[in-house]
Amino acid sequence: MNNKELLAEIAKRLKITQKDVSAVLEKTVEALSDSLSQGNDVSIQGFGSFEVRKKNERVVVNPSTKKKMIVPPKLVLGFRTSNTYKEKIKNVLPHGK
Amino acid sequence: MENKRTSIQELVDVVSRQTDFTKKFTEEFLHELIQVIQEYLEKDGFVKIKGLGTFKVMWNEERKSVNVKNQEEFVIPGHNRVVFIPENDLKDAVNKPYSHLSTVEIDTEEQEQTQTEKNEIVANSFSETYIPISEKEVSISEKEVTTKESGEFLKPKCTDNEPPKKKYKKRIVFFILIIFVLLFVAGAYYYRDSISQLVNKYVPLEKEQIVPTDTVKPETIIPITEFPEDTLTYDSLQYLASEPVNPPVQELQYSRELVKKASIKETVIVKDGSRLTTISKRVYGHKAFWVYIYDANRGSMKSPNDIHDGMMLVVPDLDYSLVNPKSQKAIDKALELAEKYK
Repeated sequence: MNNKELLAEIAKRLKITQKDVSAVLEKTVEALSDSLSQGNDVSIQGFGSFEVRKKNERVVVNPSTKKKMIVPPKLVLGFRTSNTYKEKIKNVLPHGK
Repeated sequence: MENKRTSIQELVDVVSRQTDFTKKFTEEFLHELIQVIQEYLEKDGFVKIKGLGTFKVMWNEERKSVNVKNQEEFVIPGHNRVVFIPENDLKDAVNKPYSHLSTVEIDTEEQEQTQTEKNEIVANSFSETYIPISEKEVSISEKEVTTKESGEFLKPKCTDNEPPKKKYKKRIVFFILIIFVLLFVAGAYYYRDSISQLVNKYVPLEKEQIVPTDTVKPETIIPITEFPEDTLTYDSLQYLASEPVNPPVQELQYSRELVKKASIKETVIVKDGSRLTTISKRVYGHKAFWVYIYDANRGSMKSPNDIHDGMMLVVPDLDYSLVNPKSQKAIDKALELAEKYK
């Protein structure tokens, strides 16, 4: 389901225009993003939680140039599914429309 | 990882504040949103949200595993899992504290070191939630990536390798330069003689002009007085002749009185047809000087040819300059005198 379909579905269910859905969704994503960039995890009951994980810096060797490089540390976004939802998903057949 | 947790409620608050919708509505909205995502994840296997990312359902094949408690093997059955792939913008937003860092080669120590206060603030906020190591890691983000502190959780190999390599090269260049300098100095010392010669060639241009000619040219005038009279040669007489200096006229001045005053050099008794010339030749060494013998014997001789055996003649002892058989001047003088008597 891509963004368009998502908007359409939500609009249908809430009985609001797709425009409104789009606006609210945008704000939601914004709020989520802000919270995450401040280093906070965001958890959604029954669904899962978004968390910020730190990746340490590491030394890598470029195999072609044989040069040693240092990859700096970084923060990445991860998602942890809640257990309830995990169960739900487990038994679903491999996706296919 | 103990980050601060934000619940839906907080999200709701934020969102409702920023939109015209009520809290209640936004809460409803969010619930519906999650619901749709979940349903359609099951249906389609993926849900894409613009600005956020994509939720995907992925299948894991069954695999064997071991129960850690009783060491029993058991099988993990095949199953689905939900995967979230964030969009790039979101990724960057999350990585803001470390956004100024980038992958670098170890040899060069060039690092981007853009530091902003914001970064420090955000970085510091991590220190509460992360394990103590993170504090040092955060401080690293403020400095170069490779520092001594980073060596605590990272093998010190990389940090050690950087400076020595660079310093190593610098040192080598330095030593090579020193060796060249030494070689130059040694070569200069070894060849200093030839160098000094070269120098002298070009330096004393002035000196040559200053120094008066110690080396005497062969055409220089040699005063006559320096030469002893015995060594007067034909050549030296030539010089004397050409020289306007001190012509020895005095010495060749001659008068009859001189002959009278002069002592007797030799007394000769004429025999066997001798002539004045022969006698002059014998006594003086040159026949031209017969005139002086004639003058000395005027009393006995009426003319230069008036000579006969048995006569006694006097040979005057004149100044050598007058009767020097080698002196052209003396000879000329004598000849001159002879002209008078002819």
